[in-house]
Amino acid sequence: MSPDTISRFVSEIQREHPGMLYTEDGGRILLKLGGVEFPRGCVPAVTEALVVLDATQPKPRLLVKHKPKTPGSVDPRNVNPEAIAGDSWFGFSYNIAWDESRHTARQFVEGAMRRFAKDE
Amino acid sequence: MNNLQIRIPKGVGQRLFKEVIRHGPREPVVFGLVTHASTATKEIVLVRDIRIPPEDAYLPSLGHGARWSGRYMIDLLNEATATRCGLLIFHFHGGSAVRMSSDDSESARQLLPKFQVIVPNRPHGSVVLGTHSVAGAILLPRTDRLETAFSMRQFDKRILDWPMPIASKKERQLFERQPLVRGRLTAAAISASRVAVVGQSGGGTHVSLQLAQHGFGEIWGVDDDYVDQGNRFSGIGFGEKDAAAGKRKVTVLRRAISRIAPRVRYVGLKARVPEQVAIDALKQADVIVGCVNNLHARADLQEIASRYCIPYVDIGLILPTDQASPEEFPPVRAISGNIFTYVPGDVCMWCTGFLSEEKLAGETLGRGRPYLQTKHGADAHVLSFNGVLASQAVNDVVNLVVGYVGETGPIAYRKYDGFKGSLIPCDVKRSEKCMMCSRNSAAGDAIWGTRIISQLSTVA
Ligand SMILES: [Zn+2]
Repeated sequence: MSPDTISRFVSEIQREHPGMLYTEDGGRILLKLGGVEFPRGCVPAVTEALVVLDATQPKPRLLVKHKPKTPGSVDPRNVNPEAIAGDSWFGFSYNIAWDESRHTARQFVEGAMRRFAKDE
Repeated sequence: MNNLQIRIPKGVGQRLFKEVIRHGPREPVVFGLVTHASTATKEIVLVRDIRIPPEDAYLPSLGHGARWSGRYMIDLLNEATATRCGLLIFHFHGGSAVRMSSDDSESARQLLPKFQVIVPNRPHGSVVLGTHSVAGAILLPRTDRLETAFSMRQFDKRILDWPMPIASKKERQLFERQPLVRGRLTAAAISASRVAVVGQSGGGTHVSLQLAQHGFGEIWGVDDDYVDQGNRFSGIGFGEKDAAAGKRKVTVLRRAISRIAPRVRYVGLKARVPEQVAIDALKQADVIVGCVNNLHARADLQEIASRYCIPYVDIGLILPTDQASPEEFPPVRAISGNIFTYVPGDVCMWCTGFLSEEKLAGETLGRGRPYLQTKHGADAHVLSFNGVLASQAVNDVVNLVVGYVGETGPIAYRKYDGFKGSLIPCDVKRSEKCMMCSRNSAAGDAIWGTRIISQLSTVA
């Protein structure tokens, strides 16, 4: 990700989530977001989320504080805890055709969270 | 023991002490750039690096203390702001019951609140060092109270804690020369230590039981698994009835330890690294022993150990088979093991290539951490091989606490050959280019804020 994209991304996220918390750790920018909604039907309905912006990586990453049950009460596959800056977050895989020159931060967060709409 | 501790990694501490005891025209000072961490039981101030003022930074002084130029101080505060670090001012008085002079106390009262205005989210302090003692004042974030009750931990050939317990000359000599003899200081050091053992199976059961028999004060076992008829042969102390009843591994160990060492507190954590409950527990340990079966967990443990300056002893055993063989049961090529003992500030598992991004990617077939599968090894008669590694791991923990190895210091990396029954020390050194050491060593807790401070300078 280019410095310009990271800068734009941080500003967009801050507009969407005014309570966003920011830190830098090990050359990465970390953004903590409260009240991020899982897709309808998931339990819990909302979670804290972490965005990792790393200039050496092609796209941002989103991790969540809670591992939800999907709308069909399924324990989602391939959702594992990771230690980031001394805290534990759940990493998960999601399929977004990310284009850093085109996509907004909002599209990224919503697109990633849609993974939990699937009962698998 | 109080609940505020300064930790100084190996290397940093050696440079600091060399400078503060230097004889010169004035009392030398050393500045520490510090982070911090909060745990359920302790506030920890971590010395990330030090700065030694050049001669031309000092100003003439009327009293016994040192004075330095405003220009030097501004440069230092700029560096502290840029690196999000607090400042500790160290100097040396010597003696076994060191105290701050009235000049020292007055200058701390004046300077530390000013530092706090500039870097509000990190601690600042003034520390005077004695031979086996420490005194001073520390201003923690979000308080205006100077803390004067604290201890200091330096990592060198062993864990060195200040102040040292009060002891007679004979007791001190016995501890320094024959630390494995169970004198009062040896027993005190061991019983004051809390060791977290991650993984309570093959190696971890040996480690926990041996630590308990040694009399370590607290053992925190981390494992979320149950004893069953397959795995009960891998862990020492797992019984047939435990398997039949499907008991948790930590429950079986707590029972065993309460019988052999009732004064040892065993805390069983039904968790897996890096779940939050496990991380929160590990941050409170004096030493971590890792008996885990994957590299991702090792990387997590290495990071926690580096960030919070906690020694970490890692053991692992594998029985590689001939992958190219078409046979249903390809022959076992080796029984290979390792013991890696990390001392904060010294060589880490990334420095040596024991951990690398390529190896981590290999563990998930390049698909990333979400795809890491929990491994359950095939049941095999490896209990006694794990026992060799675990015994050496416990030796290393004992050495970290009492320092029986002497002048040569601990060995960081040993390879185990189960066919030969040999443990071979390997010569490994800290790499100055190690990104993980520079990122994580004494990094402490991240500081979260609503202000975006320097995103572009960091990214560029
Ligand atoms: Zn390293």
